[in-house]
Amino acid sequence: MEQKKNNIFMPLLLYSLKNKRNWFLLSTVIILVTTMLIPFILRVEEELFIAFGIFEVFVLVFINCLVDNSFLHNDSKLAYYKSKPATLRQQISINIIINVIFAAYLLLLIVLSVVFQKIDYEIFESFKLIIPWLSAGIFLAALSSVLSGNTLIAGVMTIFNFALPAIIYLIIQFMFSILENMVAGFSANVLMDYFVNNFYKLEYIYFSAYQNMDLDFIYFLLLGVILVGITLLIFKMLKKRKNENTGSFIVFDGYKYFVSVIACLIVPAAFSVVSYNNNIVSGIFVSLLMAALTYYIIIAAMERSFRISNLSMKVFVISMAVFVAMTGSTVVIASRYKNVVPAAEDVRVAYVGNDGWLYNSIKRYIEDDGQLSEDDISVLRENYGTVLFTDRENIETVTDLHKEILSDNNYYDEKEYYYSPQIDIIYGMKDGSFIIREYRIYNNSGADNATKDEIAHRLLNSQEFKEKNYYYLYDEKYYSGNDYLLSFRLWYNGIESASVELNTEGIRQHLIKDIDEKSGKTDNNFLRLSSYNYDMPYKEYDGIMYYLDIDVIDKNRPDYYEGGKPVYNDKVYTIELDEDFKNTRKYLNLK
Amino acid sequence: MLKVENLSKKFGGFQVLNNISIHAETSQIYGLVGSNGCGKTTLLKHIMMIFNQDDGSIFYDDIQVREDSEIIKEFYYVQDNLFFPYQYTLSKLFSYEKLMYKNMSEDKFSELVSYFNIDKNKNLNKMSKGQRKQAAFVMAISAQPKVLLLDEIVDGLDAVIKRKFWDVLIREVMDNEMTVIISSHDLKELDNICDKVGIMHEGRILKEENLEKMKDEIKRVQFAVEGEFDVSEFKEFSIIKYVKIGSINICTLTGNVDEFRNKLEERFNVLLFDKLSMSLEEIFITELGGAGYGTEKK
Repeated sequence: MEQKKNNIFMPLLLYSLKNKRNWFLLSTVIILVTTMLIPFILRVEEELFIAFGIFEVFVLVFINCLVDNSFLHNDSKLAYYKSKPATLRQQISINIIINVIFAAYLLLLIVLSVVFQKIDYEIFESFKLIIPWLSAGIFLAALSSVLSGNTLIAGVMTIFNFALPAIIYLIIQFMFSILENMVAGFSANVLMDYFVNNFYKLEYIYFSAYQNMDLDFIYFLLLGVILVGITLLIFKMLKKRKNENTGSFIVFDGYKYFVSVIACLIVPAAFSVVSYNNNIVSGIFVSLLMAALTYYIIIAAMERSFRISNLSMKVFVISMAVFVAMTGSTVVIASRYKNVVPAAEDVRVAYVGNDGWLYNSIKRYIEDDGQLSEDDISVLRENYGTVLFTDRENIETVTDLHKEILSDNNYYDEKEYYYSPQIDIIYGMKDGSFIIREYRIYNNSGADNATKDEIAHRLLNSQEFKEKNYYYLYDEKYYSGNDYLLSFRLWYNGIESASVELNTEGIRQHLIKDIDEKSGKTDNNFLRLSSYNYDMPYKEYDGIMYYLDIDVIDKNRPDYYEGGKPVYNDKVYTIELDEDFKNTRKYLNLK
Repeated sequence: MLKVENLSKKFGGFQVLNNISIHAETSQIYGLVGSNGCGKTTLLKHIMMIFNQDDGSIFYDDIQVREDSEIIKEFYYVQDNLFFPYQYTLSKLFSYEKLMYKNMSEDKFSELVSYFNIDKNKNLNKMSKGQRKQAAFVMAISAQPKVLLLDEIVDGLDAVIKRKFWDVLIREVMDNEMTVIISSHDLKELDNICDKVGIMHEGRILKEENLEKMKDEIKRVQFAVEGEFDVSEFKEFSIIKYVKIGSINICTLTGNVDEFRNKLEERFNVLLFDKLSMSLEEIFITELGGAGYGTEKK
């Protein structure tokens, strides 16, 4: 039979758009009143109202998407629309297009408000985030409506699907936190950071990377891929949709179980983030218990029955088995590297301290050429106070300390300075790779501190350490007056002291003398090594606390020019003049 | 011709449609009757591709009907539980559906609105159930579809409106080569207008036949004889149902009535013998009784 094709898409689109006029009218009034009229009458800060207007745009578009697609959630409505010559694919596509037009119109109103009120156009920078979020939201609302059998649940699922990349992030972090507890030396944060930077680029998925970047080809490509991907999913799911399940929370059994399994992992994952537990066995047991309970509640709600089906139980058991297998495989892989301490001759730079995020800083410097140059090491030191050992002897000492921690990760800290002490060791290898380890140190009264203190002392007392940690004191170039300007400021109890005369060279010599004497001491050196800025942790002090700020200005690197004159951004280093700085205190005549 | 072949569907673990096959001819009115919850609406929704079948196919003039095929655009479905878009009047609904149905006739619409005396500018959702049914029927006929599926269309209508419905429907079927499938509980109504009937029970088609032929096949006789009538001696006449009320014996059978009478006269002195006509309702009850429906003891 020959059939005459009847193109109904465009007429239906125009008809639906016409039917939307009341929403357009109402939204125009809402946006203009809140972003233009109210701030004009009140004569208050307009940016806040623009931000509120943007929030309103999200809410209005979200509601419209759900209302437009709600025909999928009622038997008779669905039967009516599905029995019409326009296919569901056409009807959903029309809804998406109309909501995109609606969102664009509302954003245009926001632009008008900004222009009318002469607000700083920098606010448009946020559009780099708002546009992809709104577009993805519109497409996801359609997808969630197809997957759901209830409009309210479609709304919840839209948020769930939008947050899915972040939820997956949380679950992977959960896996790594289990790994962290099971394999000494592996940090969940470091692993997650590595994973996110190299494989799972969350900031690109959510476009937050473009907050501080110009738009590029990748931005549009990524947005296109996301929207096309969701569209293909919508079409695929529409074809497979079980319309007979309309009225249920979720119409696809597979998706129902997917949501339940993911949700049941979120709870223990979130719990692992906020809680700290030393006992891995009890931790895993509690996590499983929480996962099972969450799963049961979600399935019971979705199936509207307190009696959970055998299939649901099987899905839970299999999912947990898969999760345990995946986590277990990461543990097995990591365990192979657990006791690896590199040979000192293969190491180019070594770090030991408590800065778990240092690798991020290092990575930024090696991104350009893949190498950590001498200049990079110097800038890292000046910008972050990072001591990267390059002397063979010190690198060997770091590996000695590493071996010692592997054999015994207890240290007795009588005053309990830390709640959760840790020590980070990073090796920059000669082949360009990095080995990063983070160890928890357990406060144990029976621990043998002597070996760790002795090794730490070798590092802290080394000339390389002193020259790198206090380079602004030891390096002569800062005092030649050619390239740098140095000044000292004395503080006590938070007030700058103007009464003490500060002789730069005099103070410098006395500080060096104190640091040398201090480095000569052997007790608590391990504690110092694993503390911020290699200083002893904060302790109660009866007298007045004095601090010296050392301001360093690089005359060759002005921050910017004002009226043709260079303006410098000084770097400030602070030394707490505690009882270890006897000579300096005496020199400055401090009590 | 609309053909449904071996259609099966499970809802969860429940078999809703079990190997259903029906054949509705062009220019015919096909009556789909069955027990409550037997799957009539589900079958109609499958024909309209609202539900996807697990097995089986649907053909129109030997072309397989699919969700995206052109022919499905010429099917029109009026559901039992009517829905109209929010704040739509009949006029507005006509404008909307006109965008989709290429044969939508303005003349027919005006004629039917007038015939049924409907206020086309009244909000459809504020109309009575009967008025809404009429509005839906007007839209369906105005669309001039090739296949029209009507689910419980006369349910809740008064006798006058029902008569109007059937008049219009019969005229349309004759004039426009339309295939109509009507599902209804009102078997007396269908008895008068259906050409063919499919009897459904528990997701199966028990019987599908031309109504006249069906009536020829299943007969009912009432008779009185001297002596005790034993139904087991007349097995060869395929007696489906036997009831004795006083001295009158009533038999429903599919065998030859004349031969039955001859045998009866050979055995007994026949005092009374009448051949009764069977209504669709009686056939329905008989068929479903054979399937064990409605025969449960108190």
